Amino acid sequence: MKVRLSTYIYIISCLAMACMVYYFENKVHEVTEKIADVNEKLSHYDNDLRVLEAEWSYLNDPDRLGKLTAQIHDDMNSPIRVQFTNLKDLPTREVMSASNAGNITAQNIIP
Amino acid sequence: MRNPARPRPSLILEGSIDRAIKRAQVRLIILGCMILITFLAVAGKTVKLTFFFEPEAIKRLSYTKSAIERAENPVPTSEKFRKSIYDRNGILISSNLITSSLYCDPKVMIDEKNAAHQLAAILPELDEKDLYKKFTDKTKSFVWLKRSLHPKQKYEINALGIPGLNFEDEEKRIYPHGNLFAHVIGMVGQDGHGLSGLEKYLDTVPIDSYDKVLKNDSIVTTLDTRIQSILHDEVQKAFDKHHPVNASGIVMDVNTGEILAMVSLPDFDPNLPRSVKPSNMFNMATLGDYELGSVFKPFTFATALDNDKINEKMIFDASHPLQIGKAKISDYHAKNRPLSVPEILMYSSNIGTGKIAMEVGMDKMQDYFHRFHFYDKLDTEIQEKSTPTTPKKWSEVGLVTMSFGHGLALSPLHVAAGLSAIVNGGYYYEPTLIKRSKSEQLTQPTRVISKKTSERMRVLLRLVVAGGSGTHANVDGYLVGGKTGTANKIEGGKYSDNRVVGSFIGVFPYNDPKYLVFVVLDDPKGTPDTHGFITGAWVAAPAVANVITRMAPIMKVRPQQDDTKEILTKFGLENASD
Repeated sequence: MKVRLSTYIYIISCLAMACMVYYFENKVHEVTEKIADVNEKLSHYDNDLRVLEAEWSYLNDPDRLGKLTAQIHDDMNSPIRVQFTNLKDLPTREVMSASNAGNITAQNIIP
Repeated sequence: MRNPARPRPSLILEGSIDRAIKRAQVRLIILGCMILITFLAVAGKTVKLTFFFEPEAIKRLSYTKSAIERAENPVPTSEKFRKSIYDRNGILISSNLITSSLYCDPKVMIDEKNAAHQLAAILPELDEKDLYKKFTDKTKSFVWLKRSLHPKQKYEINALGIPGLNFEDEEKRIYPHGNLFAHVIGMVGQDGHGLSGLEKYLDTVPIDSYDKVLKNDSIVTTLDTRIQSILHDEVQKAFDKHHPVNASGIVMDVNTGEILAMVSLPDFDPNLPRSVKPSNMFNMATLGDYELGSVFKPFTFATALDNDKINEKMIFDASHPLQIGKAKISDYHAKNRPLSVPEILMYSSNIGTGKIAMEVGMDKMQDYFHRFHFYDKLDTEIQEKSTPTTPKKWSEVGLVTMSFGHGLALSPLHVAAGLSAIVNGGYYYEPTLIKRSKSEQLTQPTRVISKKTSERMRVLLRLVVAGGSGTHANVDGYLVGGKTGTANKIEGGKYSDNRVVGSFIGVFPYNDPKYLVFVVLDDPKGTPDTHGFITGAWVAAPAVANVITRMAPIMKVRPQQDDTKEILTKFGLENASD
């Protein structure tokens, strides 16, 4: 029985293609499963993050912080006008040392 | 030697038939080889799975289909349309968390009595008899027992090992700040649908335009948790002190229409939707239609100034009540003398304002009412919104009473949006709760009054606080301008003598307005502190002053030298007293 060269090439090509299809199909399945796993993990992480974020938001609730602060510093008040000034309006160290530093108050450095 | 197993051919074919048979034999061999290879591959895989145990591979094979589904649909549908809500600084206001809910399948339950007893011990809020009744109802195969279990409860129930008790993972909407954003954000029901506020609005947004309200897959609002907390605190203090039926507060950026804070009291905890009283869900700031009284006067003044009907030097006689037909218009703080235009606003003269409205005329007033959107339902992203109550037919008396805020009913948000336009240079911005770029705004700003009128109005509003009826709203360093409002409530078709809606609307700093603060109290009660007064100047203005004092440093509004004396002297009002 004589088999032509083209037949060998055809058989080898078929086998090679079959192997490739098998390989790629498996690879696609593996990757799909990996994506599903990663998505599942991401979803878990996302849920964990949301829990942490909600806790952080709850712990930083201004009302809660205000009550906690009041327990330690019950004399805290909102800042008033004389407590604000520009950086450039602050006296330099030289001026501070030349004058009586104790006499410089927030009131008299307001422009 | 001849092989006995192989039969001797009885017929020897030659030529083309012989060749065809040989070709067929070759093809059969090839086909056989391919089948053999396939079987070898399957056999090899079987041997590998059998002898070289790979738990991960088995696991993967067992859920390959669901894995593909999960890979294709990584986000659950419910989460896709119920996003987390943040304030303007990235603080979480509302989010979904996964919780487990307990249900039972009575058809597979065995020892119902014992199951009910054990479950009631873990969940004491459930009645044992009721549980037993549910467990023995064999006509059903799915009965909810408890939604949103605590993880510890889930663990304990799982440990019981009772057949027929199952868990279902559900998304639960949570609000870490409790009732702080109750009305403005609203809440969702057990089924995940919005019941009120922004949550309800988000359900109405068409899917194709939903992306427009998203930023980084979340809803970013214009609200500021810090300012909301301050406003809530101060309105609550006023509420506790004056015991009104309702109270509300709004803080708005006058240059963009962005709402930084919105409060309505009494409120509710959106984490507990079942315990919310329906009456507490009423959002006074957007749904309440009120005759708001003198806070409306700036609109009359702005209309008159914009049409050159008045100027700051004009004087109107307020010596006697204004008689129009049977109606008699008088002043609460009667000065019984001619008043200049600034004095009319400072002392909140109804007589003077009515006369100014008569100078302007009905047509112009109606035109400006339309410009300020007093006939429209607002487009703000909140579902509970009022349609203003405006007169169908205008009369001379109606024109005069409307000039000082009686005879038409508006929501506080309408007035806040309108006054923002008066002070911001003359542009009306639709109030908004969702942070947007300029190109994505709800509606493009429209010019309502001229820039010059806006500048003149700011000065008049500053005079009210510097030496007029709004001195309780003066805050050292922040140059507040504003207007008081006290409107008698209607009882049995008549205006009540002792029940009012008291309000104060303030903007600061008046020379470059940035923020507006509006506080309204419905039916406040007087206290010894207020000498029994229940006017907006006494009940609402101090709350506005406190909000400004606390929020200005946070919003980086630079304090300025107080100009009270200078501005009063400029208008010859240095001896002004309310």
